[in-house]
Amino acid sequence: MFRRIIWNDLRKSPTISAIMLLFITSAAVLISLAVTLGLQLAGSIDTLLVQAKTPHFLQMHTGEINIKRLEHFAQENGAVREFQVIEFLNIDGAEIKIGDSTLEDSVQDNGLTTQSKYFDYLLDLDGQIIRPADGEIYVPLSYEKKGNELLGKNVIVAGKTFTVAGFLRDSQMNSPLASSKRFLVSDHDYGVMKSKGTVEYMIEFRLKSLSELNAFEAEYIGAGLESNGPTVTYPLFRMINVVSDGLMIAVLLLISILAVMIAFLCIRFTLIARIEEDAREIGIMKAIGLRISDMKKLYLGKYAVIAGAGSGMGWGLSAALEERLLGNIRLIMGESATEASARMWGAAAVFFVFVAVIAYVNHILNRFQKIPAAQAIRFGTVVEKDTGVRRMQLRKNRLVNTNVFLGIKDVISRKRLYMTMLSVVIVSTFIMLIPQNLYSTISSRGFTSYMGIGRSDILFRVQQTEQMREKITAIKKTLETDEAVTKYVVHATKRFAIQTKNGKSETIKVDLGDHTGFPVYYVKGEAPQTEDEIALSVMNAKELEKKIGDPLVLINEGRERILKVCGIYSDITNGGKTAKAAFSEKKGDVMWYAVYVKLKDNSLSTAKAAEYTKEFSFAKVADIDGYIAQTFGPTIGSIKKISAAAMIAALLMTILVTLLMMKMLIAKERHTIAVMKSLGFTNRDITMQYISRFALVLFMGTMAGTILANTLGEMLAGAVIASFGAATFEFIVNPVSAYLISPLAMGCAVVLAVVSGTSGIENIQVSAHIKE
Amino acid sequence: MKTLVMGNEIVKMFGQGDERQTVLKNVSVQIEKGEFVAVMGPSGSGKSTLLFALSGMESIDGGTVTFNGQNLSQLSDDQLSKLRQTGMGFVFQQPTLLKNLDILDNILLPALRDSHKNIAALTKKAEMLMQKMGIEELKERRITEVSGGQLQRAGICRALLMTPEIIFCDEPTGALNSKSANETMKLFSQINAEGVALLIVTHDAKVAANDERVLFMRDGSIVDELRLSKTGHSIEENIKRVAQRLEYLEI
Repeated sequence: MFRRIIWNDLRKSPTISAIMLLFITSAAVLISLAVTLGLQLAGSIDTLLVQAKTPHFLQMHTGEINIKRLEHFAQENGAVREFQVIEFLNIDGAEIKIGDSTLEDSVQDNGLTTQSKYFDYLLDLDGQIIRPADGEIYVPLSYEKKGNELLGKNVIVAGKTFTVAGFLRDSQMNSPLASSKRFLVSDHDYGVMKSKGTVEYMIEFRLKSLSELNAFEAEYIGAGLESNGPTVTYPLFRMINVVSDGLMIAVLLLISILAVMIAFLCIRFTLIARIEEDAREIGIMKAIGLRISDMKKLYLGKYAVIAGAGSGMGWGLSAALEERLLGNIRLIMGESATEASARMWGAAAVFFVFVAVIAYVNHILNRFQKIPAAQAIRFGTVVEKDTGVRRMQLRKNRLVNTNVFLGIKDVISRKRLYMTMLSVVIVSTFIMLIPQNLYSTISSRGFTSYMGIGRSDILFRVQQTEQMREKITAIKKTLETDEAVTKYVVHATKRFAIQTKNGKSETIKVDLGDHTGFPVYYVKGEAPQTEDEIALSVMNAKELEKKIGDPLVLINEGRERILKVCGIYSDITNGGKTAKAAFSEKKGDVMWYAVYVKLKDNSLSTAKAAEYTKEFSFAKVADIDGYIAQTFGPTIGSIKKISAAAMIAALLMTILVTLLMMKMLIAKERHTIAVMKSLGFTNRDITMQYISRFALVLFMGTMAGTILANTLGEMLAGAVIASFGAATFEFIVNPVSAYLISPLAMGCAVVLAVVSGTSGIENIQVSAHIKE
Repeated sequence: MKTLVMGNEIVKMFGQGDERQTVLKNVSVQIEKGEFVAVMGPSGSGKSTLLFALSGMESIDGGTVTFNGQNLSQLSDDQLSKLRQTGMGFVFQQPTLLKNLDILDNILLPALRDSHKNIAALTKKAEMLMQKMGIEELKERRITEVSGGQLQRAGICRALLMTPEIIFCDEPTGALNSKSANETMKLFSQINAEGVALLIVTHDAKVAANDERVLFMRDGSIVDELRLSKTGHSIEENIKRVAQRLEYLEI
């Protein structure tokens, strides 16, 4: 009996049941995927870091090196378990030819290395330590990902031909965000090639315990050892590995939470509509003394069937999809040791969705208690409380057409019912705009100023090489005489020791030069202009506990130089820890030079950059668009894909929910529609009333969604960017897509759904619903 | 008298396949301008279906229905709607007022469908009708705040507002107590006296006795007709005559 009632109920409204099933299934699929993939990713990274024995502390260094002194330090330091120095032979991108193309345009440092002796192993795709034979080369996986069918083909490095024997997993440099890429060759071949590039040293330590990392880092710096290059620690390696896939999983998790929310909103709406529809029956059942718990059972039963089927299907689908999505993680990171438990947690998440749906339905059904039996029996409906809607009278309306008025009044007098649709529109707009705004922000030229790079057309980078000063002079000379150039500045980055508050000594990298010509984004204060001023990146300011006006003691040529902090700026380069000053300093090693160039006509920047690349092969030259494309290319690409997918998902969701609401409303309002028709309202009039209702909801929802996206969304995106070192973050919105195309697309989706939903109105015969 | 509504050989069927049933079997009926006609018959005889077919609210499977000479099946949705809005009025057993609007707005609704012109004059007319029906103090009430009889009167005001040529009533007193039912019939007589034709579907002989002509239906056909207006009988005598005819026809 009970089963038959539920089955009949499901059959009576197949579209509505199907849409509900679809939402619950989607929520279950997404949440299960997000949980499983998240745990798999974490597991794979852990496995990779363990297999590769990733260093806990890495100091890159160029220039002179005193291995003996380093060995002595490692032996004396109680925290060190293992120590090694490995070489990285930095080869100019133009000298590396993979297939038909060279790496000339790559902004990353590509180079050769040999297999490590003690730890930091480069692994093959089976997780085994690679031992290349002479003449063989192993290529970083990121080049395999770009679709080159390289295996067995040749790679020419500075005139020497190698055969690609395989691809390597590099626990340090797998991610596109890592600024270098290691190619693995045999010890013998490395020896042959050594004169063809610049040697950089990787001074690596593994500690007895990771908890000693901070203390060890301070001790290393305090010892004044080799430190001409970036420092990277184990947590950063872990984070860099997480970012690319983690971003996808984070988005998946976010969307799955939203899908659960939407499924709940739909349940709420269909239940409220159903309770309204059944008000008379519920009133009668109450009047004859039936228990509320008995009535609830009928409704709960139906939703248990839908939730059970949806969760089951969702779990099955996620298991099928998981294999495909895991492909990339497995390829880059390798297998996870926690695969079984990840799957179990995925299933647990699906079970959670099921339980949550039932609990939520039960919660909504408590409304039964609030239904006044007398009103329900008499009018067959429960009238919402009058909240100012009484003053809204048709006879006083002079502004809008009667159909529009009736539509608007319906929304205002049944706010609770339309709240579902409003929430869906808000969520859809939010989902649609966040990736879109993030995309337009990251891909805009202005974004470089958040990254700590001045707004210029072309950027030269000259890393430590021989005769660096002469090379810079040559660049300056060319720029001086080039008529296409309107201005340029040269910044030299040097390392200085500073004194921290607690009297300890630390080193910071300071960008020296004129910082007013191509300013970065200053969160507070302004660029340094005088010799006694210094600006700090947000992370440095935070770490050194400095604010505007504070003094900073810098050791320059053995003497203390007292500088005043004049500005704090966003920077996400070099681990976010940089400084800018304008004083001149002739001595000391320059770590790298950056030359910012502004052209008369910025449309020529790509061509000019190519021209300079040829002329100055020792420098990395990129037009700013190219720089953004290479540094953030993969991120921008994924965000673009996400934003397109989000738009499609949001529109589909809006269409489905609107269609669901329309079906429910029309089924519920057949009598009212019949009355309207008997009074002379045409099908078009009634359709117009429905469009007006949804247009109002759409308008309010889009407004609220847009405001939320630009406030809360900006905060959320800002929080992510802040973790890379930018303090404040503002969306650079593309007004055409955000304020015109997106709302228009939403509007079209809603109108499409309403019009298709109202097609049933024509078939409503007045007699069938009014006849006594 | 001039013919207002003419139904000729109307056929109406419901259901499909083997379950298809003929509800109206070649029914022909004529209603003159200003005439007051009742339709009686047992449940399922096709009375309400005939009313809906004559008002163009029910499509028909055979025959024709004309209103002032216009064939209803040849009119578009727009034209039919316009006709319902201006030429016809409807009163049903259950109140068919919209719950989002107050009583006065409900009465004004069909008049304001496509135009806000003359809104002041229409409001005045509606208020006058409400006064006539004794519900003038209810104009700002919601429909849940008034009685069933008051709602029915509001429905009659709405039907009268556009000065229709005919009002179609389907069991208009069915949900009312005898006092309210009597008052409603008195109102219908007044309306009819002002020249508005009425077609009332009813089970109640007392209601039919107020009319000029009573049509008796059984199994989808008009089986008899009784003219009451020119006989010079009192209402009580007419009630008796209607009851006798019903008994004779075994309805």
